[in-house]
Amino acid sequence: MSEIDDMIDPKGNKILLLLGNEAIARGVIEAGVASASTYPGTPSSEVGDVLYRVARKVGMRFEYSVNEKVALEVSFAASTLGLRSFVFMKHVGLNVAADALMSISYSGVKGGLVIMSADDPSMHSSQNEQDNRLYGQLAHIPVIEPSTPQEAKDFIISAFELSERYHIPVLFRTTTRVSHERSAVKTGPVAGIRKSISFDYGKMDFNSLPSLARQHKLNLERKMREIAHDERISLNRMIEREGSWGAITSGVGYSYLTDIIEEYDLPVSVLKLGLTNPLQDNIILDFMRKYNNIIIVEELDPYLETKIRALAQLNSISVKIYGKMDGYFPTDYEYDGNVVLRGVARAMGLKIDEKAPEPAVKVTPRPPVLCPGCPHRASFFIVKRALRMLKIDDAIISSDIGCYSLGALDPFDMGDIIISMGTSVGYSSGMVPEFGKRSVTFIGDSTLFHGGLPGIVNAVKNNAQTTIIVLDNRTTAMTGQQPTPSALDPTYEDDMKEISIESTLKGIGVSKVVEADPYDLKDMLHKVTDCLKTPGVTAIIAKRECAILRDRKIRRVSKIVPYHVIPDKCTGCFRCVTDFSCPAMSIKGNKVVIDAALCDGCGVCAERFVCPYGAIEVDENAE
Amino acid sequence: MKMQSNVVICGVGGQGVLTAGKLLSTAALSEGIQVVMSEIHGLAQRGGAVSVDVRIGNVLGPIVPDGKGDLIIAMEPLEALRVLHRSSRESVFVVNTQKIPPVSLGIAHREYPSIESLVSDLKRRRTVFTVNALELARKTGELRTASTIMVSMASALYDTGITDESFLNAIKRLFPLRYQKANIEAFDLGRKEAAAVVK
Repeated sequence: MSEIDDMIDPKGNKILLLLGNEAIARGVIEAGVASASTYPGTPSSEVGDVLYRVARKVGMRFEYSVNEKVALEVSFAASTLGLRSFVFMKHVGLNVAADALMSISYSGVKGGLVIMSADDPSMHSSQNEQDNRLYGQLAHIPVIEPSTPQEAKDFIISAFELSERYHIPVLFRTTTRVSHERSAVKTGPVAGIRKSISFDYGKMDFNSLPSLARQHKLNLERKMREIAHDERISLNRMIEREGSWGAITSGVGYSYLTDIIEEYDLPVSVLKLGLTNPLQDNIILDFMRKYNNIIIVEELDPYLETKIRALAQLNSISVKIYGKMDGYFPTDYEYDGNVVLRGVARAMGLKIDEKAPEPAVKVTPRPPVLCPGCPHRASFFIVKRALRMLKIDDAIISSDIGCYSLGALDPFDMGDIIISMGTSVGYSSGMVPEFGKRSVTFIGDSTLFHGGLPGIVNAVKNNAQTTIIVLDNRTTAMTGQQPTPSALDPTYEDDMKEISIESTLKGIGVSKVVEADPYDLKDMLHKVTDCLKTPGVTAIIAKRECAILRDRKIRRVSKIVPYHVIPDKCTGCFRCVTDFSCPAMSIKGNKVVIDAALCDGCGVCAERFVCPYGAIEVDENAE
Repeated sequence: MKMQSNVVICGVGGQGVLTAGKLLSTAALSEGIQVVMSEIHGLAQRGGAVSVDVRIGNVLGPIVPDGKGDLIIAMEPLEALRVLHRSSRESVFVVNTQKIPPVSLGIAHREYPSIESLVSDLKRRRTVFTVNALELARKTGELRTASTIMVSMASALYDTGITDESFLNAIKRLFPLRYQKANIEAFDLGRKEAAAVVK
C-alpha cells in the first residue's frame, strides 16, 4: 500500500511513520471531519498537503481559504450546519482569525469545531514566537497540546468529542517540533462523515448582539468550569516514580524531560498535561500535595507556571516551584535536551558530568536563497536598476511575507519594512503627501489577497505615493506551492474561479496597472521606470510561474537544458555573481562557472543586463 | 550495535536531505526499531543550509543534543563543518564531496575553498569517509539518488542495526515505481563504496 492509501485506509490498525502534521491529518480523517479549511503557513502546512490530496477520496470538503479569518469562518459555517469542521494555521495566522474567534467562542458551535495553531518557538520560519496557549485563555476555550505524533492523532479525536460535548470551539496547539517530528503512529478506524446538514438552531444562537453576548458569556464560563471537572477527559497523564520531586510539563517538553529522567535515573514523577486550558485543578492539587518540589517544563511563556503558582497560593499548598519566573528555564527559543537538562540539574542541585560540546566552527554562512530560476530575483534586479537609473535613493522599500522576504538580503537589500501579512501595502498607504516620502512595495499574489487589499484601498483613498510590485508567481510558494485565488487550482479547477489581480487593482482605482514578465528584463525595466515616474499608486504585476512548479512541469515531459559560461568571453567582472547572485553561479579562478546540476535553464542571466559581454549561453550539449 | 544512535544528516536544501532522513527512519521502523526524526521545513525551499536529525533507539526527544551526534551524513563538505559542534570526537562523518558554493561567496568575490583543505581539516578532528555521491549517482541515470548512496554508505560504515532487507523495503515504500530501480542500484553502489573505503 502506498503512503496515501494508508492515510485514508478506513480500517486503520497500522503502524505508520508519520510527521506530526500528517498524524493530525489522519486524526481529522478518523474523526469523520466533513469540512476542513486553512491558509497555508509553516509549521502547519503539511496538514493541508495531505488533506488537499485525499479530501475527495474520503468525502471531506477541503479548501485553501483566502486568509485564516475566512478559513475559520468557513469552518464555523460548516459547524453551524451540524458538521464536524477543522481549521488550521500557523500561530500568527490565529492573530488574523482572532477577531472571529473571540465571538465564536461566545456563540458556541454545533458540529465539533477544532482550531489548530502551530506555534514556532525559535522562529524557524516566522516573524515572532508568540505562545498561542494564551489565546485559549483570552477566548475562554479549551486548549489541547500533544507531545508526539501519536498523541497528535489521538488528541484530535478527543478534541472533537470535547467540542461537541460542550458546543465549544477547541484550540489544538502544536509547536514546530511536534508538527515536524516524524515517528511511529498506530492508526485507528475511520468514523463515517455525518452528512445530514441542517440549520435548525434557534435563530439567535449564533448572534453576538450585546444583549445576547451577555448571556453567552455566562454560558461560556459555565462550560469552562464544567470542563475543568469533567472526569471523562483523559488527556492528562501521571508517570510516578519514587522520590519527592515532581515535574509538570506539556508539549514536546515532556519528551526531553522523559529522556533526561531515564538517562540519569532521576527520582522525578511527571504530570503530563494534554489539556492546558482549563487546567483540571484537582489533578494538579493532588500532585502538588504529593511532591514538595515541582519543576515546570514548558516552552515559551510561563503559562502553566503562572496558573500553577496561583493554584498553590490559593490552596495554601507549601511547595517549592522551579520554572521560568525564577530563572531556571528560558522564556525564549525552543528547548532541546540540553536546555531541559540544565534547568532540571540546577533545580535539583545535581552535578551532571557533561562534557561541553565543542563550539561551532566558523563556516561561510548559507542563508536560504531565492531558487535558481526564481522570477523574484529578476524582479528585484530590475527594480534596483530602475531606482538607480532614476536616481531615486530615498524610497522606503516595504516588503512582505513570502519567499520574496529573502530580497531583503544581499545583494538586493530590498526589505526596509517586513512586518506581517499585508503590512507592505498598509505601511505604504502611510506614505501620504503630507510626509513627502515615497515607497516601493513588494507583495506576493497570495499575500495580496490574504491581507493586502484593504491597504491598497487605503493607499488609493489617501493618495499615497507608492509603486506596488505584485510578485505574481501563480502560487503560495514559500509554504510548498499551494493554490492562490488568482491562479486556477490544479486539483479542483472545475469548481473554482480565478480572480484577476489586474481587474481587482483597477477596480480599486490604482492609477496605472501594468502586467510584465520579469524574465523579460528590458520590458520589465521599461514598465517599472514608467510606474516610478507616475504620481500616486501604481502597480506592476510581475507575472511568472514559480521556478519549482515550472521545473516540475518540465521534468515530467523532458529535461532542463542548463546554461554555461563561455570562458573566453567571461571577463571576470563578476557583475553576475554580485548583482544577480543565482545559486547556480560561482567563481572559479578569475572566471564565473554555472553548475549544470543546479541551473534551472531560465536563461535570464544570458540577457545583456546581467552579462554585458554575452558570455552566458544555453548549453545544448549538457548531459 | 549501540542501544541508541544519533544521526545528523545535513546538506543544502534541494539535495535530498529530507529524503535521506525518511529512508533511514522508514528502514528503522521496518526493522522494528523505535525511531524519531526531526525535520525543518519552510523558508529554505532550496539553497539554504538544512539538517535533519534521526534518533534510533529508545528515546523520545526529536533533537540530537549538541555533541551527541554519533553519525553525521553530510551531503556537502561545508555543511559537514557547519554541524561539527553537534558531533563528538568519537563520531563518524560520511561526506559527499559535491561542492555547492553559497551565494555569499560570489558576492564577496571569493572562491569556494578546496575540497582537500576542507576534508583534511575535518579529518584532523574526526573519523571521515568521503565519496563523490553525485558522480556515483550518474551511473544510476538519476542524479537524485545521491542521497540514497549516502545513506547506504553511511549505514555500512556505522552500524545502526538495520538490515539491507529493511532498507530495500523502505526504498519500495518511499519511492514511486519508476525511481525504485535507480534507488536500489544506488543502495548497492553505496554499499560497495563503503567496502572500498575501509580497505
